[in-house]
Amino acid sequence: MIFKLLGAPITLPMAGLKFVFQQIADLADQELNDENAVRDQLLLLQVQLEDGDIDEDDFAEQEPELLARLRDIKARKRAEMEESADEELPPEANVQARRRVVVETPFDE
Amino acid sequence: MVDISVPESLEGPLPSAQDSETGIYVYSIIECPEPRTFGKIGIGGRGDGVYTVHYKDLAAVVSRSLLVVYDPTRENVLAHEHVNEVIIEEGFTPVPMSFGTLFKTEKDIVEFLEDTYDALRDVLVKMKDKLEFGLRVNWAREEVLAEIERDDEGIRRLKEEISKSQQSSTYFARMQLGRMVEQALADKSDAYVRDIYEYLREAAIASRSNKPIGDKMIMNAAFLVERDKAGQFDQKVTEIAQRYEGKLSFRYTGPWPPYNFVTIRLQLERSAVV
Repeated sequence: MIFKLLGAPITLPMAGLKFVFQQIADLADQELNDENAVRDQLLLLQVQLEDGDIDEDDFAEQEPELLARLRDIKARKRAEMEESADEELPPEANVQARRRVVVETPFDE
Repeated sequence: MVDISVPESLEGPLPSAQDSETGIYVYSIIECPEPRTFGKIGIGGRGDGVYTVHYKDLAAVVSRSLLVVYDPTRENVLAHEHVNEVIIEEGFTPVPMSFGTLFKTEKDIVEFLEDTYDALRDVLVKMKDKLEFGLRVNWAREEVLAEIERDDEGIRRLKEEISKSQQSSTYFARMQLGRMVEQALADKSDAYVRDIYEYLREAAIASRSNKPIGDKMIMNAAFLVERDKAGQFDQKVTEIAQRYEGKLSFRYTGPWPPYNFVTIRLQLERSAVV
């Protein structure tokens, strides 16, 4: 028993372990950064509610967490791009800035 | 794609207490020469009235709102969608604005309509009397799996071999079985989706396939349908759903404005970018 406990760290495949940790770190980093991943999770939450897989309480608990993460990601992205103050708002809500209109019809393509 | 510049509405820095100010939220653009109201159903939970702001024969469907960044919460998105639903019920074909679109004043909206008039008219003509329907299909994976194991000769035989054999070589046979089953499931899913599209195609003008959400969903599509063919499309959806009863479950929504077929969004102009 003692031998096993002591032996464990030595006998574990270290390279494999490092690989796993690296993967976890990559995943965490990517998840944190990936706005789309959070959007997908929001969509999934919505679908789960509509399909009856979760109830209103579950939804009400999880939605704010996801939205908060979405806000964090956006804030960090903006910080990284070092945008000026009047660009801190998303274009839809930024009534003071110069905005241009883009009309897209994916229907044509 | 059409880009049109909107003139700067106001000079000066952004006020710090922006949320104490009010602006105007825009839901969609419709063809409507006369002023209209659509009830006190505006976004933001204050019971703001929904009304129209006009330029020539075009109108923006709007309500007063605090100047805030609207989070895409279920509540906010449903409020936005509900306004468009009401407009559709009133017989209009709205071209939707991006969720969360705000302007400072009605004058800014009139300028936006004026500057974008030609592009908006084009899109409205193109979308006239066309509505969107959503179709999401989930599968009962276990049912389909049982069917595969019953009907697929190769899989059935391999399964029998494995159950008879006591040898360690079954490990590889099991691996192979797993791969064959996965492949058969993927083929089934593709075949279902193809068949559903094929069946509905003639009743629709266009379709768009979005990424399925979660692992139960095999199809997440939007269909553009003529308003007067909506009944026919409904019928076809009912028929195809009956054909696959027990294996697939259909979630059919609409009519929606053509969210998946037109978008009007605002972009920040970056003067520094050439």
